[in-house]
Amino acid sequence: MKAIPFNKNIVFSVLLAVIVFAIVNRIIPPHVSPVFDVVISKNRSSITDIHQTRDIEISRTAKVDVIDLADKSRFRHSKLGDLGYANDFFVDINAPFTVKKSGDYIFFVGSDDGFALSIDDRQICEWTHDRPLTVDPCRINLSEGPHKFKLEYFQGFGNAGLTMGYAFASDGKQYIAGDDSKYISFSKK
Amino acid sequence: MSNNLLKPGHPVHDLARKYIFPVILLICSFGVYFTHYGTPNAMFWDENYHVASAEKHVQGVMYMEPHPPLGKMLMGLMEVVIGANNKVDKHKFLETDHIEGADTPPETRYTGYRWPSVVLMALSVLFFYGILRRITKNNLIAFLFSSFIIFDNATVIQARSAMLEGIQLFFILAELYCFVNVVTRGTPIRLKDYALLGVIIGLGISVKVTSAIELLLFVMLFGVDQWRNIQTLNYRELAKRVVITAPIGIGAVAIVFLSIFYIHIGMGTKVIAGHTYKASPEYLQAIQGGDTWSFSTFRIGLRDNLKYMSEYADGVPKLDECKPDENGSFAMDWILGKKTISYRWDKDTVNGVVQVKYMNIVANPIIWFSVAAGIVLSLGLIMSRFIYGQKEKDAPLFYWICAFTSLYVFYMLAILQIERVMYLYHYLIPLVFGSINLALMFSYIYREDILANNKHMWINLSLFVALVIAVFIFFAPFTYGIAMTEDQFEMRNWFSFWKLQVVQ
Repeated sequence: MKAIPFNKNIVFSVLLAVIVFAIVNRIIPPHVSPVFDVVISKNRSSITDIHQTRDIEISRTAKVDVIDLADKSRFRHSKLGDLGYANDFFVDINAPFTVKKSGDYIFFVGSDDGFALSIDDRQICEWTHDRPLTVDPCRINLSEGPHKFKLEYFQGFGNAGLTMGYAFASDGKQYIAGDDSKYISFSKK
Repeated sequence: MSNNLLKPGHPVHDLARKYIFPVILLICSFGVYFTHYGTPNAMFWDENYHVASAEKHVQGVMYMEPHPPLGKMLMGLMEVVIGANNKVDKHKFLETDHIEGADTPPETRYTGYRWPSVVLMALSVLFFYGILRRITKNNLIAFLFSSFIIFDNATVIQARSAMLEGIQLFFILAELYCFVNVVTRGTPIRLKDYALLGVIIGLGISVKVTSAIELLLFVMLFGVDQWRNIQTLNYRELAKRVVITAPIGIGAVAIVFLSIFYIHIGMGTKVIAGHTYKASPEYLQAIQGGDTWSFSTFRIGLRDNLKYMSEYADGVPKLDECKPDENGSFAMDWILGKKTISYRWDKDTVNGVVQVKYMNIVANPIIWFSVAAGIVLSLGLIMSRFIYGQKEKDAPLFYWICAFTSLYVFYMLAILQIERVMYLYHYLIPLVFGSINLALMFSYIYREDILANNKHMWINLSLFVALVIAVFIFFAPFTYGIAMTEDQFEMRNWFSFWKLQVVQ
């Protein structure tokens, strides 16, 4: 059997290759499927209520694949990292989705702090002020076909996070908003 | 054919040996250090202190400072020579030790104050190249590793400013070159060599007292000078020699240091009301009497200046890492580039996108981490020789490695004894020692490949240098204040322990 050539130059070459790979891996921005546009708006003043008048200083939009933004007790995507500001910001997500099977659905919204969820311009649940991360079930009957939802959220001070899931009521299996199932699909942009 | 080009005797080789490599290095060095010269058109970090002091030299105002005056003298000299601010009213610079933005007329330019640091640092690459060339006797190794002194982001941002480190590093490298030249030239070490080394060390100490680490070069020079007497334990000859060389070397240091202070004290012919520092009544009286150049005034002026330096150092706070805005860092953390300092930032919104121009001292991680690895390897090598009794494969190179590793280690040990807060840029001196050490370690490890002109080794080394340059360019926005978005910032935020702070 032929011996594998192994010397200091090969070690150096391998070391260089590893360093280059690590750098390239570090500097390529993380990417996820752009399912939802998440508009994050920094408020000039403190936020204590989801419906308070907004005084926006600056806004930016992030594209995410799922609404699972409660990583490390922050408003953070597990791959994309921190999305929000330090404190006092609003988040708006407006997105279409398609119901494949009509019936009762439950949307599970977890928020730290407040949120308001509307489907087809009808608000179905909300938590108006601050709280630790807590999940609220929001029930609605949906017909087969296209719909749209609007999720508003605010972070005041301290820990933060926003999640949204759904389930077909009679099935009970939960999916994360953004993950397609046999009941609902989300438009991929 | 390419092999032939690198062989001695070939005209191309001889030409390269003499001129091409140094010229290329100088072009690169001036290109890097003069890029965006004079920007930002505002002071940052210690420039607010040093510009105030330099201007006092220009206008003949007495002042005292924690650092010796040579660096500020050179800044003041070039401010006069370049004359960028001839029509600017700078009287407020004289009334303070720390210039605020409100004291600075908007038309003020900093090209004069920054000139000594930028030019001397750009020239330093020649010393660096010369040191490596003389020790390794290989032009290409010296050339490739000289990239370390050109393409380190931390060194470049510090040297592009009206701060002291660029000037100090010039003298540090000049001292090292002088030492290496004396040891490698093959002729006996003379007393004037001690004197010349003392003069250059004196100049370095006259910029910043941390240059005193180079006093170790006297010990090393004496060791080389008296190697035979040391081996034979000829104490009588050693004592006879040290009685002559020590006063000459240290005397040269002292004469230069005192001469710089003599000029400093002599130039301070005016006193600004309310800014008498620690000046004694007799010193103030001598200034008011126009007697600043006399030796009696020098004596009391020097005493007062040294007293001020000592008391100032005692008053500097200690490192407090619990403080949210602490810029200082622990010396052992510097090895990996912790922690960066945000010197200044300018935020702007372009087409709705927030862009920030950062001026941050950030390490080139390829250089800094490689230097750290080089020190680990050289410590291992030294231990293998002195503890495990392994025989070195190249004795002269081994002892050079011992010398530069010692300089690195002793500097770090000395810094660890200092109680006041210290900053990342205090690592630039050992970084120079470590960079030279790395080149020597490489030459030691790959000795056979270098002798055999192994292509694989040269390709590896070239790729390594290319990586150094590429990473320097990648981090250049922090070095030159090039606008970045938050995403671009995060792309460069490689390590959390660097503690880079994004501006939102």
